[in-house]
Amino acid sequence: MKTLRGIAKSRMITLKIPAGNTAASISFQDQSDLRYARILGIEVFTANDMAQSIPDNLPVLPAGQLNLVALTLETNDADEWYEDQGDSVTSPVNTGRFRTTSQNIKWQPLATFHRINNLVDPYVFDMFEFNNIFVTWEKSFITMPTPINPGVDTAIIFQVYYTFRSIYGKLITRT
Amino acid sequence: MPLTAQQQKLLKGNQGIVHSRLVSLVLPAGNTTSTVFFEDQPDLRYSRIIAVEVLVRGVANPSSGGDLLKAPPLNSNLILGADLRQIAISFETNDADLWDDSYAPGKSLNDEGRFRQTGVYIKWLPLVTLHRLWDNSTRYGLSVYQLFELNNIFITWSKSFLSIPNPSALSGNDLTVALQVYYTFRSINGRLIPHK
Repeated sequence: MKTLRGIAKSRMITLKIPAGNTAASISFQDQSDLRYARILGIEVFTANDMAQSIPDNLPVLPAGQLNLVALTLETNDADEWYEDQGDSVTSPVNTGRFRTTSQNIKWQPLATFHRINNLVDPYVFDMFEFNNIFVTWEKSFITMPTPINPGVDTAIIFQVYYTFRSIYGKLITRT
Repeated sequence: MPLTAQQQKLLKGNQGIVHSRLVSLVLPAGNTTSTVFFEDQPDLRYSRIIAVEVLVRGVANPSSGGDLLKAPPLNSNLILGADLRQIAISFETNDADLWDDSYAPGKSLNDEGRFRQTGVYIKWLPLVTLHRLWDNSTRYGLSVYQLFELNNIFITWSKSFLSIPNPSALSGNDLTVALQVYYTFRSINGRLIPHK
């Protein structure tokens, strides 16, 4: 089941590292407009790629610091698609609503999400694509074994590519 | 479960380029606004956009290297590679997820390129994600490996815009953001979209 076949919907998500941070873990805020969205791909940027976040205009994580961060995403269990339900409206896979979620993408090095060749940061050729993944953002977080302690509020920015169609092609109800 | 033939047809990828045009947006001299809108592109109206990429003039020495020095037909100077990191792009589009399951010729909105509603469904995309050319002459990076392809997207250009959080950080005045736009007048269902 191929996932990302050309981009249809995309939005920047900002995770703020506050000035003077000493925490080793920082959670995302809820992203209400991405609730029930099936996530197709995610990429991350450093200051060499994009200087400031939008719309809050924070300076972006400096180059050379991707290797300090890992990402954990709270998601559905993507293996539990329902072979016998297909396009059934009642299938959780078709609604983006799940009884249980867990950290199915755990401690993923942030550099594996970096696709821009900027001559400084490590990068990959292909976008990090997902298969049947719905993210619970407020339970997802970054981990920094050595906490990044910026002098001013700093942003890690992610571009998230998503759809409101299930892996079966069924339209997901958003409200 | 394998995709049905209909789903495979709807979700099929792009299979080579058929139409292409340069779309330019000139950032006016002395610009201090952080949001700049595109002009209407009448000849691209109702076209399904297959892919978009951005071109730059070079880094600090535009006389050598770079993808393209000036944007035709205005012959205006393109942004430098270093400007990419100052700009994000947002596209006003149809809701690409709303393709019609019960497609019937002449009835599907997606086949007409005409929609009752549009929204900013591609939002604050760092411009660098659209830059595919690796410039060996300047050894300057800021590029991606893949062409930025779109799926069932029709752009309303006059409502699409650039976000420039810090306009004074750009490398100069009268700079042009030049996008090469690849498009077709066939819907994802393969139906010809009326456009003339």
